[in-house]
Amino acid sequence: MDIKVTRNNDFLILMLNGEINADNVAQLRDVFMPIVSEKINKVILDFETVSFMDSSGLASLIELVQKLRKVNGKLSLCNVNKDIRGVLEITKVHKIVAIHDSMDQALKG
Amino acid sequence: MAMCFMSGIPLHISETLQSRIGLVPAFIAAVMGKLCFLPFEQKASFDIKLALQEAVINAMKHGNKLNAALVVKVDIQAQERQLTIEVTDQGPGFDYTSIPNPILPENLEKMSGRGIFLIQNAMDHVEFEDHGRTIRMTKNF
Repeated sequence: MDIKVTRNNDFLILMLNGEINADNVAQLRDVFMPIVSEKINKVILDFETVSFMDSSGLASLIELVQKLRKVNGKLSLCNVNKDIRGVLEITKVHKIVAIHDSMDQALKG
Repeated sequence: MAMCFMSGIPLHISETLQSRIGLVPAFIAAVMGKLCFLPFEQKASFDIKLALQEAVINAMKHGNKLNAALVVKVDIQAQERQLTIEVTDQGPGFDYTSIPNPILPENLEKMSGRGIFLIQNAMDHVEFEDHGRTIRMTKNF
């Protein structure tokens, strides 16, 4: 998985590329955890070029949500493909992570 | 890999993996490359990949406790209308009759416990053997 980190006003944006799986999920945690704080607490994960995610990926999203909750923040996902969206919905993880159709919608919160 | 006909059916893949997570992505990619000849839609193909990934990772982590001396055996057979995947570990087994439901409110934010749930939703039939050391799952064409 490749991770590109950018900023857009108040938002920290992580553009993810490839697969999120048990073998590489620590990368996401390693990038995310040191950055998030009271001041940087609105995070968008852009899934446009993510092709696959397993239960380890789901666990990492939950970990990020919990971290952000401690700093009054919020995690959003955008551009999630139909298959991964299905995984989020069937496991009900979509109830604790905001999912937007586009980056524009995610930025509007 | 044992054998694979370009026509896709019949197909038989048999592989033994050390319990190292780093081996899994290449293994899954190789298997999916061989299964691409089968008449599955994109969604079914994603489901098969997800189920195989979860089963192999479960076998390595929860079955074999990431002991590299223990192996995971994967056996995949495609017949005319059905794909069958068997994943077997060398661990102590587990009680597959009392797996907590990960979508109950009290489990929703737990860090683990979704693998078998995902497998059961992705495949048409799932069963366990040998005290949970073997999971057998099927997907119909």
